[in-house]
Amino acid sequence: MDAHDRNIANTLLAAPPRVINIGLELFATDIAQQGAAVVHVQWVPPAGGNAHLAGLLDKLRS
Amino acid sequence: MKRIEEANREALRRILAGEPVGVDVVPAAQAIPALGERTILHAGPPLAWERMCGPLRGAVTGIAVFEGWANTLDDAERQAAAGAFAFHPNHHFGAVGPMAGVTTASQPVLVVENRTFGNRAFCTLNEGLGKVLRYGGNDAEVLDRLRWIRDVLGPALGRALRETGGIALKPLMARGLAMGDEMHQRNVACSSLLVRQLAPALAATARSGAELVACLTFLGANDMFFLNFAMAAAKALMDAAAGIAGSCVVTVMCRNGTDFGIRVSGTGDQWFTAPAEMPTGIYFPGFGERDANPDIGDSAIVETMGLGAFAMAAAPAVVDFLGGGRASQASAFTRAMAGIVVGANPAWTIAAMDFAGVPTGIDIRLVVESGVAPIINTGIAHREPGVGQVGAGMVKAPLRCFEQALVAFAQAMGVA
Repeated sequence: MDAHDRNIANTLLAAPPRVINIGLELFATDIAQQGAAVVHVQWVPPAGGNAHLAGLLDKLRS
Repeated sequence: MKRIEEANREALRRILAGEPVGVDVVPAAQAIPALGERTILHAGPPLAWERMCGPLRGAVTGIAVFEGWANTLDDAERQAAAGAFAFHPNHHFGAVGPMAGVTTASQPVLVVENRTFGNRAFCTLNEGLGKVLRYGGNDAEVLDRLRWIRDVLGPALGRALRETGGIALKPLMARGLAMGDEMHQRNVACSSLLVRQLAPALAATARSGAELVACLTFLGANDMFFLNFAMAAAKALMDAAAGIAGSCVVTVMCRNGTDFGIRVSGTGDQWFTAPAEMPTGIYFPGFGERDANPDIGDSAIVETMGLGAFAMAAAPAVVDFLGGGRASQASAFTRAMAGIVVGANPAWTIAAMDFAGVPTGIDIRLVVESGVAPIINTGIAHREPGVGQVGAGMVKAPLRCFEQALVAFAQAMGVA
């Protein structure tokens, strides 16, 4: 870790958290209730995580 | 895949280019020559008597008595169990029917012609609300009303429609959307607009003043009369988009109270089915979830075309009636459905969404990928034969239908 990286790490720890939450909205809700800034990104695995269907979707899009 | 995108654009082009016109009302056997003696068409994908739900059985036994094929409801049930009737889906004959959707030879059907492509679609006439055949009602009151529809209303509407030269449904439905109809569970605006156009022709062709009064009284008291027009229009529009090689746009969604079924343009006449879901909604006084039958009816053709729950933002007044939350949330349903379609319909716009077109052309890839199932506004039938409607609500199409369709479509495209 060089001096630049150390500076970024110190800034992160010193400043209030700024959070991007992906997936389960409950985590974003909890953070927001603590008063922190949070942006929630709605995301679920393609085809509900079914690898076979996700593979077919890839082929049908390529 | 470029071929799929091109095919889907063609499917959307055909849906948007269609011009559905209500041209006639004729006996079903005249519109559908294959509809012979003891042949009964029903809503949803194919189904044998043994697996039919209560309201569909109620409608089947009622219509068998109506047609004179059975002396009593019990007699009709015995004959059905013995294989005396041939059962087929409406969709196999270019037809649709709400709820049980039973169609037989002597019932009058509305004829809607797609003047752009020349194809025709058919739907029985709406009987009103409550204890009616389409909800499984089958007592003397129900059958007497069907006889009046066959002998008086149907012929009168046929004469009137012929007198008008046909009523263009697309512009009428555009106005209905602007007046708060989504054309599945709210049809009061479109029904009123229809009567306004039909009334002079009904009067000009009436056989008697009393008959005219009876027809106008019935039409004026039935807020849902236009539903069957919307369904036939949707069928005429969606059939024009069927059978396009390489298209994964859904052309049919329907239910028979036991199974939900879909068809996809690029896989032709193949059905993809899964158990029908239970609607959630608001029940009439004295009824509850324990009384409800699973999802039933061909009316989901309305959502297939981009109306109903897909156009909920146009009809905030109906959201609460369906148990869908606050009126201010209506646009959330439309926005969600916009994520699973290939385009929007510029002829049918929603003022509350800055005149955005209704979401049109369900893409099975987007449904499977996102896990967002099409939403359908629906009536709720009692699970037992002979009772009728017990509520109204909303239901999701089963994802399994779309997953099966995706696998078959991938095979048809040579990538599975």
